[in-house]
Amino acid sequence: MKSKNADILSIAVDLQGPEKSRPYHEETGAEFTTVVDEENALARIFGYRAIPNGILIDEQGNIQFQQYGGFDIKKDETRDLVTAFISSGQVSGESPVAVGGPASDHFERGLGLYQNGDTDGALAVWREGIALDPENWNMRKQLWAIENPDKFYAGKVDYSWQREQVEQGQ
Amino acid sequence: MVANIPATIPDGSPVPDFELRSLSGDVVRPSDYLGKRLVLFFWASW
Repeated sequence: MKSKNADILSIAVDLQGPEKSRPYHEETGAEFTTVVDEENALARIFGYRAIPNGILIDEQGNIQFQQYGGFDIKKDETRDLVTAFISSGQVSGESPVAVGGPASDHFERGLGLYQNGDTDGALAVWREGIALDPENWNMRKQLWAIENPDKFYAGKVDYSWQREQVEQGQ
Repeated sequence: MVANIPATIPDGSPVPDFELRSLSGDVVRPSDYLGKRLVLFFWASW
């Protein structure tokens, strides 16, 4: 997917910092830049509550397409969209909608507590947020990653464990 | 399920400029890419 007319900027929304993101960036053999958003600052700007997300921007800096949640490059639909945009600038279809949500403040509040060293307080706020908004994956995965670091940072992310948690209603 | 709330920034609008630091330590902004098409891809290790 290389082109002299287009570029990819990968944004790691990783609240434990660059050292958590680096191995994943390196694993892709990436020829694009990865920046790290440790403070979840872009969720405030763009209003999203889940990832993966994609935003397609034209040469003039205008947004041509945005998808918050489910922008998975392993899906044909997403790959085709990105490939077409990179090669021709064409976008078929309109941006899906789905941002915000009933617990949009909880993530920030929990993050503030976590960064001040109050992990228990942060976990409590995120649990409350998830109860209000079960679809808020940013919060759910943040909570999981802190409570079960072995499922996230011991080499690779354990997705089957995550599926089990969802099936058990965790 | 997911509430259908419109995206905060309408398609066709300028992307808000932000700055973040890259894994190699450089400050990067969307405006650095003006003149080229740009795909922003958001992900996390979790």
